[in-house]
Amino acid sequence: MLFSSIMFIFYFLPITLGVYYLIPKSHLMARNAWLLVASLVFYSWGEPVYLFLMIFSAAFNYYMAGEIDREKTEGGSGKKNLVFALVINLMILGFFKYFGFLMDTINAVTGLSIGYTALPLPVGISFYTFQALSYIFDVYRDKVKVQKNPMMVALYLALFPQLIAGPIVNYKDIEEQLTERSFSFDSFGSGAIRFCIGMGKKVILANNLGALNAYVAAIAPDELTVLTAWIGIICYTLQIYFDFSGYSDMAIGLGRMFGFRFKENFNYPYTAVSITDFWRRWHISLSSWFRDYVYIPLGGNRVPVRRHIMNLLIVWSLTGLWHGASWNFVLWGVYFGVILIIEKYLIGGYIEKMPSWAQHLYTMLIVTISWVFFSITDIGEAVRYLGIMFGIGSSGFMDSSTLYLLRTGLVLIAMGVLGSTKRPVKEHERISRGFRWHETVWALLVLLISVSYLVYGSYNPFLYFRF
Amino acid sequence: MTSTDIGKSIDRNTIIKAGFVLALIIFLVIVYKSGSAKDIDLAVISDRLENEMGIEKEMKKASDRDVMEFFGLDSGSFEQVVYYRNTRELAVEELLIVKAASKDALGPVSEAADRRTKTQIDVYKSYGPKQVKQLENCIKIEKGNYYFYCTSDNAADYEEVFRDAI
Repeated sequence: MLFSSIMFIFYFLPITLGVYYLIPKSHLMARNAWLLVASLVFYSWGEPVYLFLMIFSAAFNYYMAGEIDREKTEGGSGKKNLVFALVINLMILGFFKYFGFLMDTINAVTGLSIGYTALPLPVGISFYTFQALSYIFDVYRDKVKVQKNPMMVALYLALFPQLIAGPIVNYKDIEEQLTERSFSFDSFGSGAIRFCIGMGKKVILANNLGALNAYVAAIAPDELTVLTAWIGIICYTLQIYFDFSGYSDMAIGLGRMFGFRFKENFNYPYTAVSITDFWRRWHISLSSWFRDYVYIPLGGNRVPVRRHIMNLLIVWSLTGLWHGASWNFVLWGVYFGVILIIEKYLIGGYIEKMPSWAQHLYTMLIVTISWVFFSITDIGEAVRYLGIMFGIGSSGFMDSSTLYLLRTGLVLIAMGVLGSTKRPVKEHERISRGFRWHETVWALLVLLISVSYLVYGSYNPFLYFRF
Repeated sequence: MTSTDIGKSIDRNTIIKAGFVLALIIFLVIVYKSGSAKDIDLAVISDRLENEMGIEKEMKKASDRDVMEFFGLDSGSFEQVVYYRNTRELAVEELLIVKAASKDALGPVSEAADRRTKTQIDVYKSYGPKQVKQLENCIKIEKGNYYFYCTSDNAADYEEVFRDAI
């Protein structure tokens, strides 16, 4: 089930909210139980087969956290149980996500043709597996108390607002909220508004930008001009931002409607002044996870330079691999790893001294190029596309397709560029000072337009669903 | 806790962990062997294509005879076949979904789809660049015991319906 679907907006969400708030607030456990049931229904709507996997993950991680805690209480380190839990969680993720990649790589390297069945990826598996691991690690490190109620662990993993595409919620950030949440009309209202704005970002902006990108993607490479290629990748750059940040807004807004406060996942990444700054603003929950559970345990930056560089390359290769079981994603991750190393040790000082327009231009050039390898899974084709962007192998600078794209898409692209900055928010705050209901009216308008698109339009999954 | 209690506890915990591993392995084997394509009636996909995607604005539902004529496939050899095609002059839009009894039975379908696109491209290459482009961008997917082939500007949308269903 998608957030941006008629079924969710007009059936699932009202029923879930209605029953939730009919339960008296003194019965939080009953509310949690209902939320868990609703979350499992949400998940199984599209994939009933993998509901077993979700329930297994909850049961297994609940049990293993208890085992780690028991072992530490009896004077042990808990390490064996930690490793066992880690192996099983990664085995599940590896089996569904990386088995095909592994087989393809073995076949390519050895020249064999070992047959296998490529299984579809259970939706959200990368997200809830990482959440489960964060719980296990935090229990091991004594950062959180072990949860004695299995329903709470299941709710933490399966909570539908952030189940399918994040943000990745660390257990320590939600531990208290599972047993104590406050409600206010203000909070509910701000959550609803956030949900509407997120849906607008996805349905109005991302989907339409995606259509422009799809138009460019359908053009044969030997008919692609320089400007058309740039328009295509700029549309993708904006599409992926509005698609993913829109979903995160919806998830955070939904969470707030149920009294949960999730951390922000995006902080205007396209206003970043360096790649280092970009990764503090893009998919914050993922980069934080890798920092806390991989980078810092490896030693972080408190190690000799060579080891630090190795740590960064490991973390960024894994970050790329998390995004997809394909070499282009690994390349994408390593690309950023190398640039971050260069910024850290070579050019960071120079970047800081650059005027801000140059910093933004540098950052957006690097980021836009990265999306070529993210969007085109065949590395050869990605390199070819990149070449065309810079005039190599292109069929000229511009043609009728370019004019068509500019005529039909320039306003949308301009809206996208503006929408990715803080400017609209500042304008909104200025208008709200004179007109209190501005935010509500604006959200309702966005909701109306989005629903119109959903009723009229076709299937519109989230790009990050594939992770 | 006495050493006996600890021993019993250890045995019980080991058994529980082994139980988890066994349950997981059984599930993974079942999922793998089934190819994890849902067993779904093609009428459900057909229904969604018609009601949600409005495919009939572009293509009409065709018969088993058409499947034989254009693909050389005997619909009776498969569990189910659904075929739509645009019957207008110079139109190449078509969508074929085949559900076979097993994955191994899809070989002829894949070959037929390849032959079909090649033949069509040969027909249109000297005077129909738009048609050739559509044919070159056609989508062909084999998943579990299903085969999906579509030539259309909306092929990606129809593909999503198919993937979502199975």
